Amino acid sequence: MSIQTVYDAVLEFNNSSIVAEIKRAMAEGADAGAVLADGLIKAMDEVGQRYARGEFFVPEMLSAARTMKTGLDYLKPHLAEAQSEKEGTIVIGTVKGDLHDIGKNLVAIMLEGGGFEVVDIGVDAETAKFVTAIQEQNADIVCLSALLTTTMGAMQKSVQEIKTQCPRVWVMVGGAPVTQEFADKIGANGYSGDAAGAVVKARELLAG
Amino acid sequence: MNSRERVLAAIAHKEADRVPVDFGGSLATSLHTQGYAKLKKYLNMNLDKEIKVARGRAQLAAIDYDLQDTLGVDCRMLLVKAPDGWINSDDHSDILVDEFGMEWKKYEDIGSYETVSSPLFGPEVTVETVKNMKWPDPGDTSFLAGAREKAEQIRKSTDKAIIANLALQINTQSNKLRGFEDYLADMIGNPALIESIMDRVTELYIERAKAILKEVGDFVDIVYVGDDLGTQIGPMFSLNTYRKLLKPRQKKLFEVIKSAADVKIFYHSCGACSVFIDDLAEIGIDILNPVQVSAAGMDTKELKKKYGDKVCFWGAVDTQRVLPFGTVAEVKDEVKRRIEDLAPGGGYVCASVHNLRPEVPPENILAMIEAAKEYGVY
Repeated sequence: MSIQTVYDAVLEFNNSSIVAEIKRAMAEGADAGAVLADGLIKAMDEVGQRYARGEFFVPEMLSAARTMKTGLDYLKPHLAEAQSEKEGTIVIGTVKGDLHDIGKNLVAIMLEGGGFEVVDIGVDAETAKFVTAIQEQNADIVCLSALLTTTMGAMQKSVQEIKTQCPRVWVMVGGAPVTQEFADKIGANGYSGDAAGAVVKARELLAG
Repeated sequence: MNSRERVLAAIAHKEADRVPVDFGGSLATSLHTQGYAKLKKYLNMNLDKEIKVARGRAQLAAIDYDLQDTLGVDCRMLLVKAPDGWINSDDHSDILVDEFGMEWKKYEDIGSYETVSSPLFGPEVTVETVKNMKWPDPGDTSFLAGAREKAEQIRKSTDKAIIANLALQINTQSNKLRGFEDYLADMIGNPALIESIMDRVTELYIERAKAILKEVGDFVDIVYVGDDLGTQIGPMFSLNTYRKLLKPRQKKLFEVIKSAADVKIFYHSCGACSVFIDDLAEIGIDILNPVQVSAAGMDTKELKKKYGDKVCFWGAVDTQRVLPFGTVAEVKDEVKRRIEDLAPGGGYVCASVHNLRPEVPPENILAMIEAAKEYGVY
């Protein structure tokens, strides 16, 4: 049950012991892919569910996500050996004119915890920056974030331009003022009101 | 019934002649300088007067008194000068350094300042760092210069309710100092660090509250304090975290305010903060602002039913959709709805949910104020 202790460490926000737990699990014979899937990713799924149930809040989610990230950073070189399969590649950023990034960062780290390769292009990102990153990374999904009511216009423009230039990428949007209705109106393929939901939505899109 | 009596009646949960209206009385019921320029142009008023900035980093306008009088709003803002070393409203530099040593950068196209550095940013920060950082002197009273005269002058020149805008945000200041993301994570992972920051901020703000209210307390009706507790979709942290870290410190500060002067406490928290209202009322708040109706669990009917006897609601006219994007008719409907939900029996002051961004059309601002007066008659 050594992978269970990796899972527990994430849910107990035990950032200082997560690497030791992973080492122990692997020394006992667990392979890196299993530690990732049944330890880290499974734990982050549980974090998302606890958040959705109102048992966890942003501080708990961030602390769990940081613990997961510490573990993932240690695990990454081993994963390359094990040829672990990625869920997909996602480009994420906050739209032009908007400097807010906590929500975006939380979505990024939850997606990473969900097994996606995540490329974060930061805040105040021009459409061209999204397009370049999508093309360079051959991304499956692009996520755009806006916190300000007044940058929803920039989001709309970016989404239209991305759809034209990168027709095969799935577009997801989110952020405080963004609603499903707005997402539909601007032609986005996916929307989520929170970080945990974004992982579910991204998996749905790639599952077709 | 004059404006002041009208506002005090609402806070005392009594029906006045009409629902009071606030526009420009507090740091959370005003508008951006660019929006104010548009409004003045639309009204063709005070075009030769330079726009005064109430809060530099948000580029928040201090609304002219004669314009407030023309619109018939019921509140006046009393701003105490920023302490020496804090951002000067008249300074338009690109990088400003505040009294804590944090740097704020101006983002021209957004028209506001955001923090870019702080002595308490980064992974190496410990309780020791907090101890050794150069904190503002709690004994500094440089910001009091002229405050008493100004407060007295406002009291004598108007019958409006006067709001002393002290801010004194323990949670917000602490999270600015630490950086929001690390702050939230440390609340769980390193609460001792967060408590050490909060303690210094609380100590400073208690001394400030005492000093300011000693000077202006007898001229003001309301003290504006605030600490955001909510996000769009839920509380910023759990009620347990609030009770453990923030509530005891807020309680101390509010006790000091209430014992220093006969004032009502106007508490500002954005976002979904309904779970905290019982606790906030218990530690002495009288008014809850801005009632962000677009956030989760902030339905005005429900809020009135559950907490209507505990706090006076102040705000609630939607700024995320209706005011910036709605028509004049939609604005009026929104005001009517909020008054119907919140005003019965008193306990409501009508205002926008927070400061208006530059894009809000002047027509909508005026429609909000007009509708509040029209539908607000008891």
